[in-house]
Amino acid sequence: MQVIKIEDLYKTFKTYKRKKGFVGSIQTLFTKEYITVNAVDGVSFGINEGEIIGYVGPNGAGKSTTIKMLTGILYPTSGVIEVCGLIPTKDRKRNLMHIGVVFGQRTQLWWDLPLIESFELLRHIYRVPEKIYRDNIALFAELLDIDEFINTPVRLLSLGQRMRGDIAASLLHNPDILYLDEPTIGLDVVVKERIRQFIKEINIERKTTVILTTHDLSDIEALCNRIMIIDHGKVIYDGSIDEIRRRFGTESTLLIEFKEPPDQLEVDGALEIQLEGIRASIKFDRKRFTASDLISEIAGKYPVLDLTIEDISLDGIIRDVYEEGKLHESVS
Amino acid sequence: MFYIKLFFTFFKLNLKAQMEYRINFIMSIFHILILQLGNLGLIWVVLDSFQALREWTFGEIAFLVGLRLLSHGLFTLFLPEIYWGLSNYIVRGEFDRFLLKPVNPLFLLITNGIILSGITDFSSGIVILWIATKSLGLNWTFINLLILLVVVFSGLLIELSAYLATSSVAFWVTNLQTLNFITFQFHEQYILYPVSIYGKPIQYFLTFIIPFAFINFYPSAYFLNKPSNLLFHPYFAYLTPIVALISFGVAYFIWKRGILAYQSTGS
Repeated sequence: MQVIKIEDLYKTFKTYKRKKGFVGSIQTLFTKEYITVNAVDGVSFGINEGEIIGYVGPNGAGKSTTIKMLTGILYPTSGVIEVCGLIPTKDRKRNLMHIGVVFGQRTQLWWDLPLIESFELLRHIYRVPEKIYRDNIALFAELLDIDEFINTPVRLLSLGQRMRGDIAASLLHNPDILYLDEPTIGLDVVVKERIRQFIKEINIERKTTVILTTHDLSDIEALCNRIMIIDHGKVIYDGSIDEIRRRFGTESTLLIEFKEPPDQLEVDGALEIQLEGIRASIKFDRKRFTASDLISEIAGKYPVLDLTIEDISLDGIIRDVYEEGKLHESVS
Repeated sequence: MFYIKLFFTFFKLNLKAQMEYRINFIMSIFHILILQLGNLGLIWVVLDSFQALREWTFGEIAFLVGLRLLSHGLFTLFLPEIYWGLSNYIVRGEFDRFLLKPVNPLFLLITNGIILSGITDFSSGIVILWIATKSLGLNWTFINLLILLVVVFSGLLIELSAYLATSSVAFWVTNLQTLNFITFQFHEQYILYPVSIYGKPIQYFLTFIIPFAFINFYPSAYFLNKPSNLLFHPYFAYLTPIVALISFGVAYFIWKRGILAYQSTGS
């Protein structure tokens, strides 16, 4: 079942053209020269119930703008958005009953109140039935250990505790969709892992659809079955992680340790060779050569002690995607 | 009903949170008490030296001051976020959170905080009104107390509307703290004295643009039975509740338009 439908979505911002210097800033006061920026530039996609989507892109690519439009905070300039059959800006309150939102940079908890009191308030605001509320608190205590700090005022929580509190708060009313904007920013590995486990658990147990924006691609690798890459307001890739690896992560590296240092190393089909004593790293294109081709070629010429194959990281692939605009050409 | 229950839940929790800053609260009691009594002393001096004020006795002016403090105390206690919070949230880009919950955003803003020292303002208001009553030999009938209640709540609504409207300007123009501050000055200083002593422009301003004069000046004509002092029309003495409703209507409209602007620009 499709829970989110976006068709031909545009969001245009007008900003003043600012001139430099003192005189310029005075001129800016009186002249109104606009620049229009297409923060979201013709985006279309659909999301099914129970999917976990990674929504990725560099700063200013239009990720948060899309999320804001989905939550009803921001009006689209044009295009269609439907969330569970509702138009978020028209039916703002009803839409909010269906969704949970976490912005990693800003807490939505009440700063001066103990965490449990924030939960209390949310229980009233969302009119969560007593039983569901108690079950949820118990579940979050078990999976996120929030009972350790549930009586501490939010302003005294550590970042990791606060984030766990924020995520728990966003799920108190059993939303169908969860938007997570940078949920693991600035967190240590242990907390990150715990939050990922929790999101996975909720997704499986409740079929909660999750949309995750992040700069940390290990989040995406751990959680998402589908990734959308957005840049300059356009979706430049929408598909599975395996697919993106297969199509674009074709560059692998072969790390070799020799028995004795070779004088010089020549390998047909290598893109780049680095040799340092008995160790060498050889980059090659997996589309044109298989690793075993290379290995048998090298092992035939030199005595090899050990070898490893490293795939390019997802990080690397996506960086390539932005920088070279590879996808622009191959998609269109 | 849902909102009333929620309001008290919020109030209870805010009170709890404020108790974290107990010392602060106790300090503010002394601070405000000294400030308000100082104000009153100043009025005494001013009354003595200005001819224009001669037709007003000390007790009558104390009545104006006390009446203003009653509604202002309630404003500070229950609605401080309108004045101290709103424009900051907008400018710092923190307003999103008020649009992310399935309740009225104005309700969410109002319940976001209280300032306990409002209680001190309110109590000073009662003390000063008592001084005025003694000095003027006023006789409080039940009906008059009821009307006082209506006037105080209307005054609260007028103050709320003024700050809601001026703070909402931040939706279009970032960092317009000064506008709020000017409004504050009018409310804090100008209506300590009968509005009739000012020049025409200020009389018009405080009656028709930002109707602070309806918080204390006009209704006092009813309580003190001084219709001769009224500007414009004697009926203005009874208009406070209507002015309050109109002000709130206008302010709420501006606020709604502001949110709409915010929702289309995101800043």
